[in-house]
Amino acid sequence: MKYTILSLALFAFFAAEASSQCRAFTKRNCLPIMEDYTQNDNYNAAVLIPGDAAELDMAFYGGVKYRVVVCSHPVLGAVEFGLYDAEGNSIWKNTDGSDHVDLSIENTQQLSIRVSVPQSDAALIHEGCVSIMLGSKD
Amino acid sequence: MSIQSSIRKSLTFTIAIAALSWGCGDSSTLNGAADDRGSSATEGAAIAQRTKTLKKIFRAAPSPMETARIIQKEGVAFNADYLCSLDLAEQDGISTDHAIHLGIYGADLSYASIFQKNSEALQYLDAVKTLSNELGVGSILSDDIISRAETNRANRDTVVTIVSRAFFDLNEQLKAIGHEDLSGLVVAAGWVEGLYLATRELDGATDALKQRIAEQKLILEDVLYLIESYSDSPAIEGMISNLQPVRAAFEGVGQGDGGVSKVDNEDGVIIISGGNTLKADDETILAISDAIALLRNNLAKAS
Repeated sequence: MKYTILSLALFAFFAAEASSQCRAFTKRNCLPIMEDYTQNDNYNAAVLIPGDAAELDMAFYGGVKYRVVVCSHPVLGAVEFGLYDAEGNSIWKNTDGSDHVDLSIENTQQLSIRVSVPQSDAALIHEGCVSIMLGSKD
Repeated sequence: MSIQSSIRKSLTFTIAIAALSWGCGDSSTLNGAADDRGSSATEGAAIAQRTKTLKKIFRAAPSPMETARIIQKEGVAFNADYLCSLDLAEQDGISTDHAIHLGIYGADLSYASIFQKNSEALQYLDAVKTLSNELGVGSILSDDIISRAETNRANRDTVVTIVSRAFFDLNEQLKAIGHEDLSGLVVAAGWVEGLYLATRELDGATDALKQRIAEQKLILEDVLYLIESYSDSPAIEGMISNLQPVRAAFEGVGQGDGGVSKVDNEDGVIIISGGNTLKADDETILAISDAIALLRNNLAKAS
């Protein structure tokens, strides 16, 4: 019982520590990529490992310019992300390894941002922070 | 084995793992894989605590600042009479009430900032600070940030940046201290107030404004999707229930004719043209306006 409690405490400690580092990483490394775009209020970041995926669905207003940033710790390698419409059709992929994409939409619609962390064959598996940020401007 | 011995062993193990984690982070730097932008290569990375992969689903909704921006673009005039009373910030209440009022004030602050109503914006910024203190996240609006907003009151872009950053930090802080439900209430109440402000003066409203109101059907789905993930909270359950009449009012919104989406790339910017538009007749717009006013006035009541 004691060991279970201690193990849980340890797990909680590491989870909190990882989340705290992820927040610091996001503020230091991801926010600057927004440049003159105003960031959306929602904080969307998580600690991921190789093979993980993430998805964010949100409505984008027509007539507004957006920047989508997918910012990840280099330890995770070349994180892939793409934009998809409400029917799941691919709109764009970061085949060039870019960490952001700018877009302009004529009519308000739901879009999906899908992120995948590449698999790793390293002996030691690292976890790293991945942040999805949305910014807009007139 | 004594408890002290167990704790000592656990602490030793903790320190060892922590040292290993940070040490491995450093090796990334040596391999040249570290991000130049970071001051610490280890920040945001460590030895994995799990091996089973997962799919993380994030939930988000457009912010009140984005909504205020499109309202202004569609020719809606600013009217301070529609803003929520500042008295709510000074009243006692439980944290869920404070979160709801914070969301309402956040939308009012966004609305005043976008319309460059500096005096109102600063008043609502102070109210946001008061409520943030009540929720234990007052550090996000330091005296320095308030002072910067006051100094730059004539510069809309700077005020908008300060407010947006503050609400991003607030969302992050509430999640960090385990109050995701409160962050959800802030988002939901902010959306309600934003739509309330957009629907106050519908006489002579342009078709473009009516279309913007109809489009809020999509945003409502985002808001519901977001808060439903925290549905084990009674306050969230209450908010979901309160939003149902609004959802029902949006049932009259239909799809217009926008044709098939076309995607182009112009100088690196993805342009998505066409696609379905959302439309609503006057009766539906009025029903939405009435439903949102009823909900907003209930949320804006003192607890």
